[in-house]
Amino acid sequence: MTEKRRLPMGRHRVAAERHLLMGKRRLLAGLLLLSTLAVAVLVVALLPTVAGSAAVDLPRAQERAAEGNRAYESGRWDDAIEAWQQAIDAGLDHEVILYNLGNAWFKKGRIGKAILFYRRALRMNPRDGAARSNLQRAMAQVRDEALQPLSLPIFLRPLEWIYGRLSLNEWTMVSLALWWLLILVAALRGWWRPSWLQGRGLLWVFGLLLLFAVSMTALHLRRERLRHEAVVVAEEVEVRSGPGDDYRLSFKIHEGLPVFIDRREGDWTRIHLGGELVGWVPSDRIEEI
Amino acid sequence: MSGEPGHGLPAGVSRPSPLVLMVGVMLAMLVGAVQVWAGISCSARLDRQTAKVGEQVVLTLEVEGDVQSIETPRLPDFGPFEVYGGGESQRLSLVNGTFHSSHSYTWYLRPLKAGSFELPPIEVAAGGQVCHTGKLSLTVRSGGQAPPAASGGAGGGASPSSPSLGSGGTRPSTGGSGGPATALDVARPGAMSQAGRAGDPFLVTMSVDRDTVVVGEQIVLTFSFFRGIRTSIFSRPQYTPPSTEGFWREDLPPERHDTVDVKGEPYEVTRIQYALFPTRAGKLQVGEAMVRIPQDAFDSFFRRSPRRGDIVLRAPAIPVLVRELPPGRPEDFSGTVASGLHLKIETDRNSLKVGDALTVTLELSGQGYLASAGKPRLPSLEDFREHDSGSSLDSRPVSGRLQGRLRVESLLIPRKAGDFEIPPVHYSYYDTDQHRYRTLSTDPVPIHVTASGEGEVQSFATGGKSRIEVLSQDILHIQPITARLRPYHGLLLRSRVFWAAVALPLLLWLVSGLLARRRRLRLADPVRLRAEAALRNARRRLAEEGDAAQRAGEALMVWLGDKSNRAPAGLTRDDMERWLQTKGVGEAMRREVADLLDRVDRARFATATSGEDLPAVAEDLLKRLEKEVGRD
Repeated sequence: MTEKRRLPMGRHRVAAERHLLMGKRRLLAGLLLLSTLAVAVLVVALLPTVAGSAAVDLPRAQERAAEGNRAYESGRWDDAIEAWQQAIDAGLDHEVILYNLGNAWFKKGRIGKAILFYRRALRMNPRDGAARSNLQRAMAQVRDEALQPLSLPIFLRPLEWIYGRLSLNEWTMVSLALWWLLILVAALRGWWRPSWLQGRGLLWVFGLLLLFAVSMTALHLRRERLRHEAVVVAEEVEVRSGPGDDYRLSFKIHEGLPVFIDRREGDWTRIHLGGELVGWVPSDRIEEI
Repeated sequence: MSGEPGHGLPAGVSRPSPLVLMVGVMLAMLVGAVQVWAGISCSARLDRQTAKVGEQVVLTLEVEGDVQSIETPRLPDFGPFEVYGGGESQRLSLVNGTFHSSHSYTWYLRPLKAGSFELPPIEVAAGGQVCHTGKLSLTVRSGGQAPPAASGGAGGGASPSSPSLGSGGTRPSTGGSGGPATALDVARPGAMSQAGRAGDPFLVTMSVDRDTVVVGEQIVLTFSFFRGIRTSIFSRPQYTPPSTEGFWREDLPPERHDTVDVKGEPYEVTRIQYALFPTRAGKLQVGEAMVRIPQDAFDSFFRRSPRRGDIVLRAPAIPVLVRELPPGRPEDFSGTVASGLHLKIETDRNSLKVGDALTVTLELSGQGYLASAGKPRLPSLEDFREHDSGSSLDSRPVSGRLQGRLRVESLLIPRKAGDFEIPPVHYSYYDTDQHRYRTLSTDPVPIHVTASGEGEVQSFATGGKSRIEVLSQDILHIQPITARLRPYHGLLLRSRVFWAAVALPLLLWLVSGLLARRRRLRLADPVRLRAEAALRNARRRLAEEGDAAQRAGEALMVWLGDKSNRAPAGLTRDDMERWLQTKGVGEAMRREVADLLDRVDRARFATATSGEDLPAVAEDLLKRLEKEVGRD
């Protein structure tokens, strides 16, 4: 007969109960930590996939994309552009296809379109070295001088580098992951206080990291979505003082120049180039990134 | 996070929180950023740290920043120094795609007395920002060209517009423009005025090298102060320069000191020269100049000097006839009047790629006031984008006349590949030596432009073993389409799933907080904790192995003990009965409890009675009792 542990009787059992209770809580807290981490990783990993709801005919889109590659390889730029555009219309708007489209437009000599698609590819994946390299080549051929953003002081350059390494969605996911970790640490402190959770140091660390990630997300959001940037896709565009051909010609801009969109009115769009260079152009001469 | 014993901090010293540290670091970074982004920096330097009295010291002020225009800085009062304006140059450069501006200003200082001086900071204003240079130190030794005072009369502040004059002392000629002079007309005057006569202790002359000129032509105005070599003065003469209305005026440093003979009388002469450039035609005049020699009380008392009161010498005004420029101006004439101008063109290279920048420098040099001269310009080049890169003007006296060098730099960026030529650059001006208009021309400059990344063979040395030649460059190739490509689903921030994922941990935190609070409350009340665990403990006892009747009895006693917070072993039947009655348990159920205990006793001590069903009966009874008594 096996000897089973028997609970002591009376007051001693109260202390034993409490001890057992604490042990169980620790176990539960550990399980909670692991399961929450697993859920957080799962959510962050699967979020981009489950976030979209558009129906995509993936096999057909991939087939069109592959057809675009074959056309490009044989020097049929127009066919390649058409095939890749169909793949995108079918829902496969992937950075690789955008980059390839940029190449085809470049080969056709349409610098504006090439810049447009390289910029779109880089927006999805800022670490795409090939897109960045080809974009530089395309920008070198733009006739107009684009306004340069102010560069940060040298000791703040690492922040600029970190900012540019991740896309808007990636920064959003980093923020979400840090948010989960912050809440998890806060919840664990209420349940179980191991020595490494005694102070609030970890809370501060996660809190500041979260603040930083949210700032990066907000900066991306402002630069990419709230400030509508476009590229001139016509060879030469006359910028007028009002939304119509009757208005006075203010200045001319050329293909590939990045501009900012203020608003649209009919078939005309009000743009600005920074500073006092503001005017109206026909909407079909520029394309928003 | 207070300082606790054993944490390596002395008692009473609190450990700074991570937040404070982070905020401190961020503030420091912010302050640094503001300083760096101030956008303007300035520095001043002297070409030497030690000089002799009268020697020329060059002060250079450098201003750099992202601003396009900088107000011409004004010098503070430097004390015993004569200050002459020098040159100004500006340079724009393209650094990382942004234009960077650099200005340089030059002044000539001439110390008037010996000693160690600290020049105050110079203030520079540009683009709404103000910058200050550091202080400059200069040690001035005696024994230079400047005339020391005979008995302590030297020194005193002299403003740049009214240079001081030597006050005494005899020294050999220092070799001015004309060597040892022997007469008053040392400057080949076109006209001269004079105050005093040969033999007087003091006399002054004022002369111009030409009195009939055209608009913009240079005139050298010379003011000379003669002091008899045996005449001593104890106070510095006060000089009032002539008015020069209708002229641009430039100082021609340095002041010169010679010894001359005037009709057999030796004089020490101090000369101050100006370059004048008439700005309009007509009868202009150079106003009178004046020197006041203060009376010296010591001299008049002890030496019985015949001097009474200040001596005032006035050199009368000199008329100058300024004529209009003659007709026949070339089309591109911009109004420049000078003599002996030269124009040359330079490029930093002759071969480059599309998109690279070529620096072209046009240099105009010669005698005249080039600050007002029109800048030479490159002709319009369709195949290049042109940007002004900056200009510089260096103006200095050479052989007693103002000589200038104007450099204009441009950046040319080719739009396409090919062989091009910068056509000749023409520049017209009126030459005052030849009395006619002249047009200068540069030679054409060939430029070879290769396509971006093509044509120009790049070589990379690899450890000296072989050289890899890049023959051409193209855009990087397309990327393959694989089955792993998945569509981009737009902004996560617009997804409901994302916001659900944001809200979920918040919910978790709230639930966790509630549970933790409940747990704390339970742990704080052991009686309640024991009562809550009563049924569970009783069942656990029932599930153990052993005699069925004993298990049933003990389970009932455990339950009663836990509920009443008493030791089960000390409970009597009367205690149980009273406690159950207190808890409102009905008589029927109390009887059942008593019956069960009776059956347990019988089963344990009367071997004929079976107690196998007692655990089930006990469990049923405990369930009902739990419901009746509740969890309180």
